[in-house]
Amino acid sequence: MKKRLLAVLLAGMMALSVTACGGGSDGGSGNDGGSSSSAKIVIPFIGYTEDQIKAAEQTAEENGTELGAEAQYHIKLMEAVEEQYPDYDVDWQDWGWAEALDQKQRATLTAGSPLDLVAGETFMPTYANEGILEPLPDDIASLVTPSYLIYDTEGNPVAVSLKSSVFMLFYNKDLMEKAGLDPETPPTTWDEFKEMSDQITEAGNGEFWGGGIPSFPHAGGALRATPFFRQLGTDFGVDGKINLNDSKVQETLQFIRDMNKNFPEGLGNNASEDPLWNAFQKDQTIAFAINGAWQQTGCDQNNMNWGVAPLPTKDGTEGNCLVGSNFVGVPKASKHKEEAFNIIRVALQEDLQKIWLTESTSSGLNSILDNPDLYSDNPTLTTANEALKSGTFSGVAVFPKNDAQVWEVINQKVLARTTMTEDPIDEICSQATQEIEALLK
Amino acid sequence: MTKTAKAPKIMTKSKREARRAYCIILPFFIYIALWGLIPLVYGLYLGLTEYNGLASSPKFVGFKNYVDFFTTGDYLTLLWRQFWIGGICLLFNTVVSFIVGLALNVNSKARGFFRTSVYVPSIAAVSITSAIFVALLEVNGGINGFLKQIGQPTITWNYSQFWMVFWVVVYFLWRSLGPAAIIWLGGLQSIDPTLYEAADVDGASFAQKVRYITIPGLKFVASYIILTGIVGAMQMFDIIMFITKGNPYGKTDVLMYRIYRDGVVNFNMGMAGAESTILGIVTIIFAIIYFKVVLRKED
Repeated sequence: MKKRLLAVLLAGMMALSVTACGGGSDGGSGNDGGSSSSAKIVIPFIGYTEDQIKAAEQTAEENGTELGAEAQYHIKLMEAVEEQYPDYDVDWQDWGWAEALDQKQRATLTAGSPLDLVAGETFMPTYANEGILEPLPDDIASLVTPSYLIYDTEGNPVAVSLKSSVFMLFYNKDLMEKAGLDPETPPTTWDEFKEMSDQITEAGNGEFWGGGIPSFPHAGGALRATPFFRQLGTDFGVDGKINLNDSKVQETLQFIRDMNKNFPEGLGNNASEDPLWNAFQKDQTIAFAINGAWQQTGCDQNNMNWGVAPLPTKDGTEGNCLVGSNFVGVPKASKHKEEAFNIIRVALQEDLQKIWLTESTSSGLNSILDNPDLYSDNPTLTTANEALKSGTFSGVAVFPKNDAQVWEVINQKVLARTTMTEDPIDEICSQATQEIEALLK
Repeated sequence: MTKTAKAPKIMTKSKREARRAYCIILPFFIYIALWGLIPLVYGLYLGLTEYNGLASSPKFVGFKNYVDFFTTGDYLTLLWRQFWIGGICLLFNTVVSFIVGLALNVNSKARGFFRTSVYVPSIAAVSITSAIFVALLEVNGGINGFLKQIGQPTITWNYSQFWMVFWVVVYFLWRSLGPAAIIWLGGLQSIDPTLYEAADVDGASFAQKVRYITIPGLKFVASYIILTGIVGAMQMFDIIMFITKGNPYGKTDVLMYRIYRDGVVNFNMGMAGAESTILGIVTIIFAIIYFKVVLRKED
């Protein structure tokens, strides 16, 4: 009997030890059920870990430059939190970005030990729609332009972006000049965009091209195409329903297809974005590029003779899409909500937000947007901020169910197929609509 | 009535040995239960639910995911593509690795070098080698550069389903050939050489020796390679993910890659559970068919 008991105990211990090993966390979750003052406040993405600080310093040293704006912002944020809230025990975590961050955040939510703050870009509206985020206090929501907020289904702002950009048209003045165009007069309408791009491609004769609207088969394509749909007052999705059979959507797709002829074949719809950006900024063989504010750095580093302008419009109606946003929100299940909101307040302080301006990235703070003296000498910021002030922009459309899969169909089977084939656009849209409707059921 | 004392149980030697053996394998059973059995059962359960990893618990939806799988058509297309692209990979790998195995069995001073060389690609990390492969397939990549140099027109590989499948097969072969060839080689070397000597005495041709000695002698090796190959082909997704990402416009997407995306990228965990169950069942069916039809027939 004793032996049997011993065997059962041994097996139990073994199972427990294996389970304990599988549990993994080194205190990252931090929420051990203790009081909020004693447990660590776990913050992913914002702030830097020691390794990240070392890496940033090493890069700056190697390049003989100061720390980049990104590193400066995150390090100063940590210093400010330490100074203003010395009793906070914050665990700054590096959990990556995009899918990697989403996966880890969802894992903590599933495990019932959510972080005290969640971050992200494209998937944050899904978190908001699911109702897992705490509404932002009014003082935080009122600090920024509405474009920098994400709302839940009840209309409460639940996430705020710490920085963002909109899409602009960057152009190579030398290539415009080579094609006989005035380098100081970029296109302002779709017709001008096409005419100028066609003219550059023709003048390039296989050596350089005008460029068009990228249709990468992933989010990079949808983000850049969305502003053009919005200019016609339409979008891929309206009120949570797929909208591909809208004639204006199909008209825009036709324009994207026409413009794609001004890319070397396979460049504008490549699975990797790098070849296109290399062609624009390094090889300087593409005249027009649709990109966010970060493109300025690439142009400067490659000594390009460049300019920037708002996106060409169909009939003067603006439309754009937020990109490069760092949204943060506080999960309802967080055990340190007030502390997390205080950290967000620090992250939105004007002195910290001004750091973004040094890399031509827009801050959403009303106090900065309303003070053109802070950025009037910077054409990229002026263009972006004017766009931000003149309308309420958001990220790409959000679907109530299977959002990521719906976008996968749009990116691959609508956008990329439009530019890779000559299949009738209505047929492409109709087939994709059928597939997407099944996903939305 | 007086209570009689219970007689102590006397365990036979064989029982004691059996108990000892169970104790030895117990940790492995626990390991398999924790990391294999529980996830398997949970996956089956998830297939009957709707869950995006954000709600507090999965919502039971019965067989809805299975109905969607068989009625929308898209999933069946992916399953069919998994079968034929995986099948082509398996076919070429089996045949070419057999030929390479035969070549490696030839007596030569350099055979050690060749045996090592053929195995090296399977040791290198898929993520790195596939990145090099993808760079070669870029519009201005190495292969198009070579075509230009020999005066041939360049090809936009990622526009064509044919070419993307072609390169998937090439990469699969390059990577998987070595291990299979080494197994074939082991099989070849296990065949009694006196059989070939006897065949020589009887005047058998090379083809006859292959037909009547080599192939029957490799039956069990072949069954191992093909059975593991079927499982591998039906689970192939890393090569698709790294090389084509399902492009052009979803034409090289396969069910296993979709399961990966549905599960841990798009968080449609219920559908991923249902897809995994169906793919698992289909793989078992293929394996049973092969086992019953091919192997039993040969018996």
